[in-house]
Amino acid sequence: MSFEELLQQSGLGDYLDYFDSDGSKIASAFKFEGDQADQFSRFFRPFDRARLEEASGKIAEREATRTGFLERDYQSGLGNLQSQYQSGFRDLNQQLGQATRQIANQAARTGASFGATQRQISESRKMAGDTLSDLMGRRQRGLESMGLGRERSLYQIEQQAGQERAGLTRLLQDYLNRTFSRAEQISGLDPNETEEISYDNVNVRGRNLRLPTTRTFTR
Amino acid sequence: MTLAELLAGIQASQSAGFGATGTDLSMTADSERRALQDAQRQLQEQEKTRARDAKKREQNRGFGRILGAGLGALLALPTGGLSLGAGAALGSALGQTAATRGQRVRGVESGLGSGMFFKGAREDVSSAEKDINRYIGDANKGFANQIIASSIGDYFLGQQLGQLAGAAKYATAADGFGRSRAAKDMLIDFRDLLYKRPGTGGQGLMDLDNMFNLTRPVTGV
Repeated sequence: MSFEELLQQSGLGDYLDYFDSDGSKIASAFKFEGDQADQFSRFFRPFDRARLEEASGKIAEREATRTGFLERDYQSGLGNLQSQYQSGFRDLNQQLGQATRQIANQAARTGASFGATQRQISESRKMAGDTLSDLMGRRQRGLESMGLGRERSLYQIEQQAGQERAGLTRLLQDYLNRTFSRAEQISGLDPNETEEISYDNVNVRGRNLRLPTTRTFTR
Repeated sequence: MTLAELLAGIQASQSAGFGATGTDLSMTADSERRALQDAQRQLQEQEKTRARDAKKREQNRGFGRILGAGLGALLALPTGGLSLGAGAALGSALGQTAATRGQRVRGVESGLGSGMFFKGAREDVSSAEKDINRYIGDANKGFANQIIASSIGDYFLGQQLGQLAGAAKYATAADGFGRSRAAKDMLIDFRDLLYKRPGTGGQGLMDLDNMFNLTRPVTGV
């Protein structure tokens, strides 16, 4: 993000002139013109744009890093949930198969009637169905919980990045306050006006000389 | 570098930078304030000195005027009553000029250099400097006029003195017997005026007759 965009984002877009890296331009922004702007430039501290841009880049970088961590955690959580579900489903299938085989073996050994066997199988299927629905319910709740957690974390990441950007805005505001205060100080010292010297090119005995056309009095 | 370090760095550099430029500003303003006070003090001191110079010059002029006019009148006295005025005036002018030679009252200078601040105060100092210099310039011009005016005054005074009977007789003597005799006559009269004549019962302070071999010539006056 460029410095201008940063200022716009902080609501200080109108004050771009005061953030110049040349002190005399800052002085000019306060209507100190000509020689005055040059003289007063040493009393203004130019703003370090590069470091602010670096800090802004750092904030974006940190936000991206935190979001990346969150996404990885989320994907890993999803994977865990899926594998838990799959493993539970597999176990359930095995248990159901085992139970069916046991009922069939028991019926062959004891000579139980077809109806009784069918009832036992039906009961064990019903139990498996209940377990499966419980498993799917847990998976759903897990997914919902993970989604909520992700949203909450994203919100927190956004909040933190916002606080960090507010820190940059405070810096900009602090700089502006100090700069305005300095201009007020200078103005309170009744600045002396000087005329800007204009030069004429004069030819004297074949030599081109640059001579001032007006004299400057700074009494 | 972490974000916290970066932000702290920006903040610190900003604070230190403003502190340094603020100190620079205060020091510059203080130094200019002191220079202004110094310039005001210098102007006041120079004004007092110039006033003393002018007073001294006036005293010298008065002294030169008395001496010049007196000598001029004395030199002109034996040559005739009418030229007495001219002699007094010329003597007065020469005496005043000689006594005040090289005593022209100089202008003042605040010595205030250029600066960034205190425009109003600088204008005050500059205006005070101009006022004093204008006043001194007027005084210098007036001084020359005063010499001329007092010489004219001395001319009329000398002329009036020349018209008195006592002074007119020397002019007559000069016409009749020459300037040297008239001058001698005049000196004798001065002697008589200032000292008691010997042999008349009184005693002079000095025996001028013997000292200068003065005997009253018969001028017929």
